[in-house]
Amino acid sequence: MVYLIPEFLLVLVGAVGLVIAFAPSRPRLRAYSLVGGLTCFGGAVVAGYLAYLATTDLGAELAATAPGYLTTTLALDPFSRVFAVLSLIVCGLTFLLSKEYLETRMQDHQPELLAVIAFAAAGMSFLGSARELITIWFSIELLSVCGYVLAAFTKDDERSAEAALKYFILGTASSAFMLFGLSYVYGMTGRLDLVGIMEATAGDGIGVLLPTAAVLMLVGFGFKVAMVPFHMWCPDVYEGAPTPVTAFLSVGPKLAALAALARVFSTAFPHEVARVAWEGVLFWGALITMTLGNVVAIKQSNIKRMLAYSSIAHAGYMLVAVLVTLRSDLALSALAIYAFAYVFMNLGAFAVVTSFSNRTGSDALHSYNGLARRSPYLAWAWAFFALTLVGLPPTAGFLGKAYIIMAAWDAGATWNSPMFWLLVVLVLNSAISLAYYMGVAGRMFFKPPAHDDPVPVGGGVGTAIGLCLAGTLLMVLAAGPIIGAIQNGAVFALH
Amino acid sequence: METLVFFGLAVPILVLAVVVVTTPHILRAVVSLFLALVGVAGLFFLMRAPILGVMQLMIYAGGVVVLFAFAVMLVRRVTGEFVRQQTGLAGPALVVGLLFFVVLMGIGSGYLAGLEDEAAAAGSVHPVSRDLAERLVLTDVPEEIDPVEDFSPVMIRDYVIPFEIASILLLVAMIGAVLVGHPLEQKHPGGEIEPEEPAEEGEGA
Amino acid sequence: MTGHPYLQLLIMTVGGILFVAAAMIVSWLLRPNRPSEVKASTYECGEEPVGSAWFQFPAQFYLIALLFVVFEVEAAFLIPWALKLGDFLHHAAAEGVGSPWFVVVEMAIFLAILILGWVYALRKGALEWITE
Repeated sequence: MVYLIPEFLLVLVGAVGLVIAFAPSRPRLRAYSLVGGLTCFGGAVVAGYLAYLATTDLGAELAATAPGYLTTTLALDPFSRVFAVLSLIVCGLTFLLSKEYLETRMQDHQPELLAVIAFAAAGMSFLGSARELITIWFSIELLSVCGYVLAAFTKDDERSAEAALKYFILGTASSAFMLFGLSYVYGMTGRLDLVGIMEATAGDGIGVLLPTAAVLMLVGFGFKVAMVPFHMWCPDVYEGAPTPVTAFLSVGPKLAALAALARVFSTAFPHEVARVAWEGVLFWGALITMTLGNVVAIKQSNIKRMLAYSSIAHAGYMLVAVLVTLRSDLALSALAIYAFAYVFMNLGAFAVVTSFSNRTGSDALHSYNGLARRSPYLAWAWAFFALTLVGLPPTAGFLGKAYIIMAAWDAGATWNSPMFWLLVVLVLNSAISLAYYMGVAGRMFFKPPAHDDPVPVGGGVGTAIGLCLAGTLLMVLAAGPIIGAIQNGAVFALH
Repeated sequence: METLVFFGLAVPILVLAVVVVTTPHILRAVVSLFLALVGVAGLFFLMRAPILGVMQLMIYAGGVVVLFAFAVMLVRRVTGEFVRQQTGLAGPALVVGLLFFVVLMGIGSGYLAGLEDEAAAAGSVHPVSRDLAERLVLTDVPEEIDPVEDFSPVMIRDYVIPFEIASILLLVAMIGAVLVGHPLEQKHPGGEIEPEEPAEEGEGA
Repeated sequence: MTGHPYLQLLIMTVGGILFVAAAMIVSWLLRPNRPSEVKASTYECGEEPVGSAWFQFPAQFYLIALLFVVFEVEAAFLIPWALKLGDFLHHAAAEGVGSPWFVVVEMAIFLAILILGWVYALRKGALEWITE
């Protein structure tokens, strides 16, 4: 039961938000977003302790005596709790960075929006821990349905309505593919738990139907991750949705799906035939995803679209870590560290965008001209997040990329092997991304502003930016414990 | 006998499904969909999964199709003409669908052929392959099975977590339904409906 | 009756279809065929039908139907639980749960979360019928 405290807290925060939404005398939104955010950060500390606990003898004992309903459906390993930490942090940061947006740009339904974000974060956390197909399916659907609702929140805005509809139709189609794949797996093995599937497919009896199932499942996950060619929804939805929602959608579903992807494919399909299929698809998927994301991002004139393509590129980097999960012990740590870095830097960048558009109502790139004079805090914060997103040392982004490269190297990227060239492409892509991240920073510092009105930064979003800055810097300190927890937990083998 | 009933259900389901996507008359499509879903419920009963069969009837045939019917009535033009289902993309869709079918069938038949070779070579069939082979020909359904006895305890005892996740999922779906669908919440009527309302008044006057 | 447990159902279904078909064929054979304008018109309790039945439904129908489907799914989860509740309450240990309260609390949480949604829908006026 103790293991579920993070998820319980998230559901509780969401439920409270819903009660606030229909309470006769409406308590203030400010109090809810602050208390909810703080609860999430407190929960993150608890989840961090649970991750640590899972590496100890006491944790092993607790896991061994855990009730059946926990051991059947959830993996009680450090990796799952590390992702619970991540979910809580994402939820807390989104709460903070939404506050001013909700107060100034939405007339109604503000508590509901936060509540749905909390429920989505709970789904994220469940998805990171699920160890059998039914729980995986329900969590991914919870996350998706929350996403559809969030994208549709400002339905009066035509672009938002269109984005929500697009997201919904494409999303359900990809869910159908995934369900089709899941049913194939169950039909062939008669097992729902990932370890059972691995055992049932161990012999020579496995045919070519299993790769089909694996690839069909990959379609479902690929959509959530925004892996090319399932990325088409991404720019439109990111542009149309309310900015705090975009911030959440760019990290939440993506990271949870990546975590589940790593767990499902390395646990359930480690055997030859299926493995060749999914590793092949992931190899090319990662390669094309990061390249396309970066190249198309250069041409964007809307900052939300630009960040959408940049988030596609980052998904490509993380797919490399997923790709080598079976070959390298470092892969999961690399994925987790990159995920943490990505949360801080991407939410930070979106916090800057939210804060700017709260005051100016514009997301166009040219409106950022000369921001350094109008709001030094935002401009410097963006410059820092841009450095991190590119992956320059000594930031968290550098740390994440370094670990991914190390994991890939560990997995046998010798001179002239495919993996080697994948890494070359990864590094080249980082160089390309320098162009557009720094392009925006260049606008802020070197182009003359249209006018000199200052852009004040709200308290909530300002705090969120500060926390993200701190997070990207402190990752250097946190990386050690994260790797320690994941490595010591002997992750996926611990059913 | 079971094979007979299976095909007696499967063939109409497929025919109706084709009607759903090809007929230009959208209400006809809805009714065909309804009948196809009832047929699928029949398949569930045939496979001795009555709970699934009842749920299929209740939720899909009973609820979702009604929802479709309302959706059709909702978006209909008021000018008196029927909404025509757009089948302009039928060609490409057919190609994609056929490709998918061929790939799946090719894989499936290749797999079964592989199974036979393997069984011949090894002298014994791997449990996984036997499982699939038997499932494919519908012989492996145990005679004595109480579906309720089988289904409920698993759901109640082992799958509590997905069960509770499902309740959160339904809750979010409800919030979404209220937010998106509630006319009072709609301060400016949505783009889809707005242009048609003046037309309705015009017709009345 | 032996054989497949749904054999009776099948016989009932086939019998029902045959019965209706037979009734219609017999009446088609027996009745005189004199079509007229009035007979072909829409029957509306003796009133002259006004306008077309094809008008745009208010979005409310859709909302209510949507909430109804959610309610149905909820019921679908309740049925298997209710069917086995007795066993779980009386033989908790044999069924593999520690305490009989387990099943009760489990459903209580499930329902509490959903009731929250219903109260929300109620308070937001989604269940009230709005006449223009």
